[in-house]
Amino acid sequence: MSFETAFMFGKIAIVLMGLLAVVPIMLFVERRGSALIQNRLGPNRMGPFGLFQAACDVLKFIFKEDRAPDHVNKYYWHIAPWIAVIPSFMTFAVIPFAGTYTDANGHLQFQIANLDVGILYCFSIASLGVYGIIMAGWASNNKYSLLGSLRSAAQMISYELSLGLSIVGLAMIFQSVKLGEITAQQGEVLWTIAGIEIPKWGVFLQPLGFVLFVVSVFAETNRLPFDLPEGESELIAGYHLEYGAMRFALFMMAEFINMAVASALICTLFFGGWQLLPGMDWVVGHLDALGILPSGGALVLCQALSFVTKIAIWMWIFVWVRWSIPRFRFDQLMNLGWKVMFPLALLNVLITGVLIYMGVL
Amino acid sequence: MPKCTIDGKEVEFKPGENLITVAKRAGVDIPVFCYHPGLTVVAQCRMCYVEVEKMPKLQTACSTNAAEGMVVKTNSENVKKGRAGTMEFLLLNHPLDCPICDKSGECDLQDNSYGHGSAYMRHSEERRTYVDVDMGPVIEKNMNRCIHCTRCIRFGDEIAGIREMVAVKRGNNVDITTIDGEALKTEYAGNYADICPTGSLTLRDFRFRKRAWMLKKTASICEGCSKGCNIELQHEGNVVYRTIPRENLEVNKYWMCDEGRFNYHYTQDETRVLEPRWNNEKTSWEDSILAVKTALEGKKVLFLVGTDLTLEEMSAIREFTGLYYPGSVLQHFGTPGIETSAQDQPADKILKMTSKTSNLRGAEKLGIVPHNPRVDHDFSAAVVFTGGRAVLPELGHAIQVGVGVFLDKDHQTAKYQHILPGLAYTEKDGTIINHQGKEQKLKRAILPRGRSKSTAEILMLLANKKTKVGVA
Amino acid sequence: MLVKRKPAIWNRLYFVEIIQGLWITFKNFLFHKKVTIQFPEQRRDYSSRYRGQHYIKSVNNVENCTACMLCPTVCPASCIHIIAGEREDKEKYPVKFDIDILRCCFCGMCEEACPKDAIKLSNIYEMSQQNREVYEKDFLLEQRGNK
Repeated sequence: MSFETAFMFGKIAIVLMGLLAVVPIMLFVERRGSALIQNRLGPNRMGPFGLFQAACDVLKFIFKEDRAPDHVNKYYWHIAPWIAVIPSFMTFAVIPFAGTYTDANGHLQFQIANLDVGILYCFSIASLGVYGIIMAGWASNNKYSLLGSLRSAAQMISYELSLGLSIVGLAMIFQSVKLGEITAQQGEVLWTIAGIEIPKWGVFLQPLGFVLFVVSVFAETNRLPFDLPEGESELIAGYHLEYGAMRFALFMMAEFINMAVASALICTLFFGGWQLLPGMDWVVGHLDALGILPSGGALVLCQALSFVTKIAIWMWIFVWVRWSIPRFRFDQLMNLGWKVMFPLALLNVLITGVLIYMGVL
Repeated sequence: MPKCTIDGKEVEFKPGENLITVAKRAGVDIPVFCYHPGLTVVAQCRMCYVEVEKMPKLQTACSTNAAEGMVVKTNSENVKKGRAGTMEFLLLNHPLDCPICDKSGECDLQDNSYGHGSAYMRHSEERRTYVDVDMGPVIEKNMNRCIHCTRCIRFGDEIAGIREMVAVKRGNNVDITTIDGEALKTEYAGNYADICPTGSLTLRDFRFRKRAWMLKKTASICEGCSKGCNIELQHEGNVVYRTIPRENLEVNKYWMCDEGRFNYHYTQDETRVLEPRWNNEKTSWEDSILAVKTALEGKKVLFLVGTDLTLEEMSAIREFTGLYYPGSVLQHFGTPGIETSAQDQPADKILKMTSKTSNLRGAEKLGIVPHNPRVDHDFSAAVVFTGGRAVLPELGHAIQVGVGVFLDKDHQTAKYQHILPGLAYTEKDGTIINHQGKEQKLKRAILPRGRSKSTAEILMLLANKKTKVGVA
Repeated sequence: MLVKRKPAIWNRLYFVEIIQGLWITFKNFLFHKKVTIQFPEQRRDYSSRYRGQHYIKSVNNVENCTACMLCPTVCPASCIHIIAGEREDKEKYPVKFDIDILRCCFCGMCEEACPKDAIKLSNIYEMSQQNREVYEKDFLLEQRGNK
């Protein structure tokens, strides 16, 4: 096996492991975080600070009896969770998690696939996730599930529009849809105000686009305030009503991994991706001085660390928003999607175009 | 008819009626303790105070006869004060043991205390206490609760015809007791408990078994003898707990005898046969009915009807025998030696009759002839219908079928090849003709016990050609 | 009259509102006192009037109850079953005193009706069992949760 192939498998393994590790961590963060926000304590019995609670939850999911109700369409019912969970993993393939490592042998890219279509691949694969949900809802042969999945489909299609349009401005500025290139460009300095260098992050170039993107991403991941497919009060549990044990856990995994991917996308597009966090230069310098790692290794490591930190912050914001903002009504959701987000996204493209024409950007 | 005014209402009355009776007709209740309509008036308790115009003091309503133009007030301030005072005196020595007392819930003292007494007590001295004498198997005495109304003394004198109870000592130390502390001898002792307005005299039979307010009440007729005393069956949860007399001035007035009072016990006896039997083995109704039909087929059958059955049952049996066993003999039996109504005479000067079954007149009315055990009958099978009270006749070794209430403990059941359990008098509706020729109604108080069926149902099963029997 | 006011444009954007909301939850997350009572170790202090498990009060090992049957009379769930009897030292006492605890609705009317201060509701509230329990007299006479 050539070094390239081994390196590719290594990258895939790292990404897969990382994403899988996200699930129990988020399980814990969500339960403890929601508890603390609501002035409770949350699970605190298993291990220190209840850290092993996630492990116990997983154990429970694994050992629970997995049974299919009589009235479901067995085939689709069984494959639906996989259809939901696999695309969420696939999306991460184009996201760079560290800069390019260059040494005598050549370049090493810390990105599974540096596709030319980049973001478009992301969106196309992410929109596959809705099939899992629709399949689950329809195969469950249950009106609540079906209604949940119908809502999900409607919601995803509505918000995919603004999701796609919100980053058109960004693509216009960076002249690329390749995520690696976009991230690399964000390392430049935009302005220097009173000695503080403001990087050329997407969020500073495209504030409106950023807001639209974040809102759309929340809707795409079916997280509160847009979790209408699940809406407990009206739909009981929506599309995963008939699922239990590990199959239900797969849906949950899909949700958490979608969150992770969404966070990664937000970071990559608007927060400089793997670009170092302020202050990380100093760490890189000291690590280089120690000489443990090969030259340039410390930089790559810190870049990956910065990226993970940014993702973690965004994951926390996902949780935080969930326990702060109440759910929308379905008509409000549609109004927002079509009458507010969509025109604003178009406006954003127009303004960006005008500004580029005028040479401001 | 002369008229008087009670609480503003004009009431007609017969001369000689006292104010309590007249007031009752006017819809005014006057509280009483010592007054009882069946006993003489002594005006001892002073509870029935009323104010009569032109009379300077309060009058006791029981001892004041109504007079033309009399104006009576039963709820003036004076009367209320008088009654409250009386109540306070009566309660001076009364212990507060209502939670223990069997009378509570139907106690005159309780009711009147709530209605007319005060919620507070002014005296703080110790109450008197007594050591009670044993009053025999029927009555439990508790002198501490007594308010000296002397109803019991008068009952013994005037109704039971035996002077057993007396008041000894005087004043605060008065003791209402039997002469020389002997046990009660009268056969009407249960009435002592009924008339006692407090819990001083209570029934031993009923002691602590249920509280009075929990009992459901069914008005029925006693089946103890041909007198047909009006009774009330008091029951709860399909169990009869006691029998008390109902007022019927034409039959039993206010009283009943102990025999009738405790008669209900046999219907709840543990040894009562509650499932069909075949040679003393339990069987199902289907097998039993089939076997009985087979046994009776082609035989000359003697049908014996107990005179403790109701008119309806007797009539059904007569019809059944005529239709399905033509040529058979139908006779009635009941008390040995009492075969016709002419032989049925009062057994004492109070209530009891010599016929110990209730419906002798009914059997005669239906034209059923008496069974004479001294005459040999030509029959090969006998069917005996009984309500449980009639004394079963000796019938030799012919095939015997018993329908009705049978008890194992009387060793009656061994003689019968087949027993089909029927209903006792607490479990059925029906009509009974008493010694005066009065038709009176039995009322069902409780549901049939065990797998017993009514006589009509059993006859229907026997008559059914297909011999298909519903699951009992 | 119901007046429908249109909120101002900056309010309708909900930007500030969302930030404010997030700030409130963040404050709760970090600073607010947590209200959870960690049950087996910590216990809530219940009022002495709390209506929990029943017991029959006894004085000098003689039960106060005289089997007056006021509690079964007043019981709306009819879960109290008493059979009265007589013994040497007590004119009337309950031979059988069963409380069908699954039927009980803990209204406390038995306690209120009792003229002898015999049946009481303690503040014991951990009453889960693995079988369908009927509290019998011996159990009720253990002076548990006395108050």
